[in-house]
Amino acid sequence: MKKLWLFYAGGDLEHIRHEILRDGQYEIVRVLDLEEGGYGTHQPPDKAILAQARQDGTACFIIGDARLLNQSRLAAYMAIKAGGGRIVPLKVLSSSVADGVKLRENVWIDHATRVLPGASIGANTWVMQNSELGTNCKVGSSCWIGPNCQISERATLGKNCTLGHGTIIGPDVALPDWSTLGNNVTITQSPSTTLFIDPRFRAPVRIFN
Amino acid sequence: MRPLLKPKHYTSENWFLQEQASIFGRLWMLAAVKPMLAQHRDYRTLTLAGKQVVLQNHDGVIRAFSNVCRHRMARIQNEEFGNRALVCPYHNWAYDECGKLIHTHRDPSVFGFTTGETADIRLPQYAVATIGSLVFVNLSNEPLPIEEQFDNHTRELLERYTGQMDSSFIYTRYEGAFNWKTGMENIKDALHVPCLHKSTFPTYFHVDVMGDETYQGRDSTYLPRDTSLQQATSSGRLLFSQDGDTPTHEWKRLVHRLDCQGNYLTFHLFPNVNLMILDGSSFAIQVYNPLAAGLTEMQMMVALTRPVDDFPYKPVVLWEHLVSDMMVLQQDIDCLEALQIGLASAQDSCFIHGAYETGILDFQAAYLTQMQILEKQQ
Repeated sequence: MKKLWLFYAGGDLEHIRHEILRDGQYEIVRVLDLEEGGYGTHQPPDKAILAQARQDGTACFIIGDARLLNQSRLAAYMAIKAGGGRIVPLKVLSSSVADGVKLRENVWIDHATRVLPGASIGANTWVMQNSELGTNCKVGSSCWIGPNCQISERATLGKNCTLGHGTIIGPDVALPDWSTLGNNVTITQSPSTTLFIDPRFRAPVRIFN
Repeated sequence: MRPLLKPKHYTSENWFLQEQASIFGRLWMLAAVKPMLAQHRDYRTLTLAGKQVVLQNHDGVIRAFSNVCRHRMARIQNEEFGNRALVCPYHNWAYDECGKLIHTHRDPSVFGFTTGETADIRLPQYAVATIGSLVFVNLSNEPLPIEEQFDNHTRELLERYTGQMDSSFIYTRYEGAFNWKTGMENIKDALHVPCLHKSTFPTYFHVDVMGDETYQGRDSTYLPRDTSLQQATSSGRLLFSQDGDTPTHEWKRLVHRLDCQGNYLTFHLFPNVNLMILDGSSFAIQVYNPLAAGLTEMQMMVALTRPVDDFPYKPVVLWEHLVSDMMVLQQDIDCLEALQIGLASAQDSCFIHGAYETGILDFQAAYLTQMQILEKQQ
């Protein structure tokens, strides 16, 4: 069994550990906590630790969540990458990923997720349980696709997007970078600006960036 | 202290119509910030004093027009923000950068206008003035000089500070069932902060309810101070706590710092704008735009000062900033909507103002002065 080090930067560690153990592809050798240092910063682990992982040929994976619009997870990923860790994608066996779809570093494909032919997924993007990425859709790096989402065919999500559970993105829709949509939202037309739909507020919020 | 305004001033639609003419149809209104209209043909639409207005950038010049087509009164620009020429989507009547009609139909016989008949067809244009990044519109046919509304000191500070506003911003707009004046009075009410916002207002602001020198020496019957238009705008300053609670934000190293660093500056721009500058590094602007006596459109935006270094996670900072402000504002609006219901059901009652509320009474006195000016002119 291949060896795996987990770097923990927030989120549901037990969930991820459970899926990895159930799959039996990797043996979790170590779980290391990463200290958070605020916006966009994570204290990298000691260089000697990463050097040891490299020497052993151990794979690394960074566990995080959607906090700070995915930047907490991204910062942790960048810290490990800068330290020379060999970061792998992880795909749960119950998921269905079409042939030819490339899974980049630190991509997480959760339980019962379907990734259909021609889909493109950026590094450090997480797709949570029961979601579907339609044919020829494109999802940028460091996105969070919550549970039960539907990304329709040819839809495009920019970098750092966050979709709450049950979000539906219609065919051919293009979401700008940083789009953040609350739970059970349906988008059928491409918004002209980055859109935030947060159930705490009465109206959508827009970022002009 | 005896109140200057009664419940009817907040609930009567007749009074509201007078107010639209006397205040919002006559004074300079904040209608945009320059980053909203940065590119050629960028536009913004909004309703000011009941009028549909479009602001549009043509080759770097921002002009304001009626957003109502002269043909069938349809709306010319449909989105709140966008980028397209001044062409009505209903029948494609097109207007140039000065609002003059330049095209009706490729076959002139469809309308049958002579050149002379179309020469004078143009969109009503409104006066525009800018201070720093702030874009003001005046709907009056004879707009007063903006210098009469905002004094030299205020204009100089706004020019200096908002001139450093970044081009990125975060924005939202929604309606609340309350009168705009209670919104402005609320921001002048320091005491509500430690009460209503006990759990949401950042603890590193020291809100000193008794520290406002404007009411020192006033007696309990309220003596109006200078109620001139320039004095209707007020500003304030809070110092950040120095006790170590102040968060250190890494991102502030990435933006230009204004000389008001370490302070929380507020400008209450009469009649309906609350502009805040936080620690010399960010701007928050709230506009209370009246739509009816009991209905106010809230506009809320946050921008940072211009970056001095690569700042890839700026949207995170803008979002976190807005969320923090909105959590506070949401509590205000929930309270003001309940207050509006109270006002409507208690027409025979009056507010009971305490000494600390002199700022509110100053606002009311200035407001009443402005309401009377048009009356006197007529």
